[in-house]
Amino acid sequence: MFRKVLIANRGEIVARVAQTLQQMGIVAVAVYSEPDRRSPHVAACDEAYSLDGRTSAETYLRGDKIIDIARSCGADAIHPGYGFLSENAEFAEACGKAGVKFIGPSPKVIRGLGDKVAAKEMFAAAGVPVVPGWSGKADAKIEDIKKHAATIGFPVLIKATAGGGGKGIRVVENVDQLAAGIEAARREAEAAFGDGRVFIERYVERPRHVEFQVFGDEHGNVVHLFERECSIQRRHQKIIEESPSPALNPALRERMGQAAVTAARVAGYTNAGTVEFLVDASGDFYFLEVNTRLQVEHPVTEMVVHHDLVRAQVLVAAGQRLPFEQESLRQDGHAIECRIYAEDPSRQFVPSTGTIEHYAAPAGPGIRVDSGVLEGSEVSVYYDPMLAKLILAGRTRMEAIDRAIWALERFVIMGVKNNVAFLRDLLMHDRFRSGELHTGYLEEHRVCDDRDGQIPDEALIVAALAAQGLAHHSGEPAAGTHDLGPWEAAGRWRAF
Amino acid sequence: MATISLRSAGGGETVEVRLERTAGSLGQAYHIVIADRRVEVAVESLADGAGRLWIRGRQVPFYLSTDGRRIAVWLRGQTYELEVSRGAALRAAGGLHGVMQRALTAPMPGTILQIHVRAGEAFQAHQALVVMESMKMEMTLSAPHAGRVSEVSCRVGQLVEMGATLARFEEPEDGITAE
Repeated sequence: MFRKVLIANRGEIVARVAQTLQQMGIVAVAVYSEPDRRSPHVAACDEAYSLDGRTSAETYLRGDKIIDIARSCGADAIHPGYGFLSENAEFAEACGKAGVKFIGPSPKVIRGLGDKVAAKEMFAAAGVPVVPGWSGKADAKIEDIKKHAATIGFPVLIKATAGGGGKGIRVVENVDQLAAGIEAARREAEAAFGDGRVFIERYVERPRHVEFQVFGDEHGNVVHLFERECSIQRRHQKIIEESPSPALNPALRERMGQAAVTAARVAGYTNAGTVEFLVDASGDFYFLEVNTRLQVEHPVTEMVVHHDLVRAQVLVAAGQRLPFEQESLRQDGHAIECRIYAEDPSRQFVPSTGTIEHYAAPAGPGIRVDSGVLEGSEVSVYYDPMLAKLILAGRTRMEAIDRAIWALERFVIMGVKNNVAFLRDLLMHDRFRSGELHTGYLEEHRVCDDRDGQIPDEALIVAALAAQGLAHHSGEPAAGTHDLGPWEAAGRWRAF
Repeated sequence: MATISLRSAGGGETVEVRLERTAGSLGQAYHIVIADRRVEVAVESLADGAGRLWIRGRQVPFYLSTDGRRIAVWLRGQTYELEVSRGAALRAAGGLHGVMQRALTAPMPGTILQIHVRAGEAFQAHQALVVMESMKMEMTLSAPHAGRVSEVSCRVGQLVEMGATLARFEEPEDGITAE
C-alpha cells in the first residue's frame, strides 16, 4: 500500500480525498497556488507545497511542477481529483515514467476515451447505443463542420473533443451562428483543456442525463454502482444530482448497467469512471461519453451503495481487487446532491467573487457537506466558483428532497452571491418533485422569480436595527448610523 | 422613536420602518410599524454578526453584515441586500435611469477577450460589443440599444472588476432611439 499520496487539485475534493487517505493510514499531501495558501484544502492535508503561481495554467495544470514535488517529498502516488490534470493522458504517462502511481485509468485508456469521436465509434461497434446523427471530425475545418452540421440538422451541439465539465459546449440554432460558436467553443476548450479541438452532434430535445458509475480493477473485474440522474443543469453544468434516477425502472436500469459495463470492458477500464447516457422521453438511451475520473457528484453514489469510492480507487491503484462484487451491490434509499456555487441566479448565473463573511454549514443525520471554503475564504476569478456540495440521504426521494430543503434553509453563506435560495426554490418546484426532469429544465421553467421588492418584514426589521446601531453586525457601521435615536447609549451590545 | 427608510440595494420602493423601544422580557424589545403592520419584536445578538428575532414565540435566526453602505441580512438561506434610502431627491434621480444607458459595464469580474468596437463607431441594438471571460466562462456583452461609442475604456487581456466601465456611449442623437 502507498505510504504517501499527493492530491493534485484544490478545493473541496482535496479535503475529501485527504480524509480517506488519512483513514487508510496514508500521508496526504496538498499543493497550492498563491491565492490558495490559506485555503481549507491545504489545512486538510498533512503536508503542503507551493506551486508558485496564481492562475490554473501556472499552478494546478503544471504537471511537471506537481511530479517534481511528488518525487521530492517522497509521494508514491498522485490522486488527480476532477478537472485540471485528471483526464490528461500525458500527465498520467509522465507520472508512470517518474515512478509515481497515477490513481486512475491507464494513460492509454484516458487517451482512447478522451477522444470522444474514437470512443463513440468503439462503443457503437460493441453494440452500445450512441447519439443519433453523430458525425464530424475531430480536427475539421469550419467549412467541413458546416457541411456536416447541415446533414445532421440544426440545432447542433458543439463540444470540446478533450472536454468535460460543461466547458467548451455551445448549442447552435442555425448555420449563421456556427462559425462564431465554434470559434468561442475552441477558445474555451483551449483555455480549459489546452486543446482547442471541437466536434458536433445532434442536439437531442428534452433528454435526461443519466450516468452510471463504473469501476474496474487490474484483475479483470468490472462492475457498475448504479446510476446518477444529473438532468438539472445550467450552462450545461450539473447543479443537482441524485440516485436512483426517477426515470429508470428495474428493467431499464439493468439494460443501462449492462451497457455501461460493456463499455468499460471494451475500453479495458480500470479504477473509477462514469459512463454518461442521454435518455429520451420514450426511455431510449444513448451513450454520450466516458469521464475517466472521480466525478464531482460521486458522493451521491457513496450515500446509496455505502462504499467509499476514493478508498476503492486507492486499493485498485495499489493493485488490489475491487472491494465489492456486482452481486453484492444494492441501491439503498435515495441520495441527492446540491452544488453550492458563488454565482447570481437572477443574472444568468454569472460567477460572483469576494470574501466569505459568514459561513455555517448545516449538520444532522443524513446530511453531508463537502466544502472547500471557510469564513474568510476569498472566492477569486482564478478558479471554478463551486464552494461546497450538500449531499442528503433519505429512505425515499421525497425524504431526501425535504431534508435538502431543510438543510439549504440553514446554510449560511454571506459575502458572495450564491445559489442556495435558488436550489431551495428548485427543490420545492412541483415538476422537480414529480421527477419530470430534462436537461433544459431551468430554461423551460422559471424557478426563481425576481424577489426584488419582496423583502420580508423580518429582513426590514433587522436592517432597521442595524442602521440604528442596535444589532451587532460584522463590517463597518451602516450608512445612516449617524442618525441614532434617543437610546443611542444602548447602541452596541452583544448577547445579554 | 425612529423612522428608517430602507429599500433594496440597487433600487426599488422605499419602505419606512418605525422603531419604538418597549419594555420586553426578552432582550431589547421594540414596537415596530411597517406600513399598516405592527410587530412586537425582541432582538438578541448571539455572536459576531449572528442574532435572533423573537416575534411572540416565533424565533427568526439571522446573520447581518454591512460594508458601510449596504446592509446584508441572511434569513433562511436567502440574503437580502438593503440600503438606507437618502430620500425623495435620490429617488427622483434614480427614476431617470434605465431608458438609455451611458456606458457598458462589466456584469462580472473577469478578463477582456475581444473588443468589437472603437471610439466613434456606431452600433446597433444587440450588436456584440465586448467578449469577456470569467472562471473559464465566456460572455458576450451586447449593445442594450443602438448608439455610438464615445470612448473604449478597457483593453484586451485586462482584468476588470464587476461594474467596471468598459465603454462609454455618446449622448443619443435625434433619430437614434432606444428599442
